[in-house]
Amino acid sequence: MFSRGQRGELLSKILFYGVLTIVGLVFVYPFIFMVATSLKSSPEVFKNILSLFGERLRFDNYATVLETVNMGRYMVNTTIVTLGVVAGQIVTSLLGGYAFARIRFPGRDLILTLYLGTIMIPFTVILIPMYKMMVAFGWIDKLQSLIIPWLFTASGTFLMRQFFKTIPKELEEAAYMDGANRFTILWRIFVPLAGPAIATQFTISFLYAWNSFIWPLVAIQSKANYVVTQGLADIQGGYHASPPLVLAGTTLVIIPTVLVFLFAQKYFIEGVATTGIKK
Amino acid sequence: MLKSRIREAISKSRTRESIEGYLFLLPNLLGFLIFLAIPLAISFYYSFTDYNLFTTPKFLGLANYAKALGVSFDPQAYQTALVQGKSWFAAVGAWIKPNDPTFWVALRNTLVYALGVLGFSIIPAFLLAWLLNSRLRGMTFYRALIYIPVVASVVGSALVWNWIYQQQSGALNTIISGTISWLNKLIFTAIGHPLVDPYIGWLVLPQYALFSLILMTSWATVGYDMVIFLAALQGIPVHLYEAATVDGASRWHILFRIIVPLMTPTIFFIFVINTISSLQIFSEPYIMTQGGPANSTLTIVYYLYQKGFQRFQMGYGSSLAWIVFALIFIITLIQFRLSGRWVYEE
Repeated sequence: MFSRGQRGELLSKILFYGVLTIVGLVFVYPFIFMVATSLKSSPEVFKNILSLFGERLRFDNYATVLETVNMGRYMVNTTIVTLGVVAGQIVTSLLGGYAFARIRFPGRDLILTLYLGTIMIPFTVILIPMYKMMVAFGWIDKLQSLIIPWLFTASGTFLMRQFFKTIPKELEEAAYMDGANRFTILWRIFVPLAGPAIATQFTISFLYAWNSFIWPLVAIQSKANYVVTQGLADIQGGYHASPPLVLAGTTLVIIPTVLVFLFAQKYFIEGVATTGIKK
Repeated sequence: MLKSRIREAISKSRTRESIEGYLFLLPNLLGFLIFLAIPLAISFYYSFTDYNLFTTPKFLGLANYAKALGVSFDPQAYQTALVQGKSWFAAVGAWIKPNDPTFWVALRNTLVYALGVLGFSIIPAFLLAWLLNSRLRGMTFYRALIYIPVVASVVGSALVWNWIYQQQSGALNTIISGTISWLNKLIFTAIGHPLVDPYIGWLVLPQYALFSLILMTSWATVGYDMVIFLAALQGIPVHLYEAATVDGASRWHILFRIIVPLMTPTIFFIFVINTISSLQIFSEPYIMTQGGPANSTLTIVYYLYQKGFQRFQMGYGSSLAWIVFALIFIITLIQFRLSGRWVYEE
């Protein structure tokens, strides 16, 4: 049926996919475990932690987490914060990226270098004064402390600049001759072309805002204003800490990030690979 | 006359362009100034003070840094240790008395963490990238599977791993127990040497806890490293290894003699980025072990958080933050210096 060479090729293909599938399963197993456990009852978990299904799928765990543990409220808070940060970072990085790519002004290259250098500064260094500043502004325990300081991104600005540099100048020159101002040019010519860069930045900003933990831990104190990561830490420590409930909450937190990643994968992976932005 | 007019028009448009440039940059500049430059300066000032958030900061000079980094010497303890027949290293350990022993524990843990994550993520990531750099179908799918842990919330992942590592009924120990009893049934009982279930307390024993966290962080890092490696691999011109294949070079020869040397700049980049992020580990120990058992997973940033926000020693906390910054800076600098020796440049 097969020649010897064909059979060898088939075998090596099977081996290749076999290895990749095993490795892939090892990487996603914790998430399979998470979803499976979130749909069981506590006794079922302790009876056999590895089984994928209990007696029935207990979706009521999710209802319990959303209502009793208040995860619903935390998800609303986090959504508000994330939308604010994402929109803000995209707008400021479009404006800044355009300035660095297309406008000549004194000190431009120096400012760009300095701005990029700030990526090296660990956030921890400003954690304490930022807390103090939020107290002074009266923003402590308010969602704006999680939004306004994070509307700016050096790496995003750089990403946009790099993208805008690839757009041919002829496209905007005609509009410029017709007397269009720079803002119109940015909005009408650059933004529509910047889809991939915006998708990349959207994903990066989304993951950053949705997953942030240490800053909310410091800036938000009352439970009504918690974000999801704080909510998870809270369920873990509280009396509701049964594995199905904790992991139902965790599933609710992780699923949106995975969905955003899968939808924007094509652009996002490319953006990560070319700029090295980590999170 | 005309010339001067043109010149005037040009300089007017130049000025206008400059103003526009700064206007477009204004949001970024303001944000940078208010939420980075000013806090940075304040943090630097705090690091030289005694400050508990409620009273005004009291200037101390270098005292915070001396507390964290300083040591005193106790020759008596050195002698005693030698007399007691302890090893020379143990005696030197007794001789040097750090002013803040916990800081050194946290520093050691943080460095081990960073090295551990480097070791456990770079090599698997490279091999996976090498596998995935294939023209066969489905590569995007496998790449996505391996990347998912990178995008998932660290807090969420930590909670999942809590139940994987749990000692009594966690997933990992259940798998290990199952495998061992299966192997025993199969061979070892028959030959009279049944294997003993190690029943490891992954997160509750000091000798395992840090390792367990390293493994988890590596799992969440491999995908990132792999994507960077994959991009670099795809950037290597095909003719380079086609020529070698024609010359009859083996797969391994191509990998180690052609691909790895061409990849050294990428490997270097990953070293730097991973070190910078590992030195700032906080959420994993916070969620999974609270720095324990016996401070075995206390990292510097976690220690800083304890000092600053649980004990309100904000001056000392700030000096710890600057030490983290200096550490990152020095390690990055050393890596750049060393890179000249092994990074290939065209």
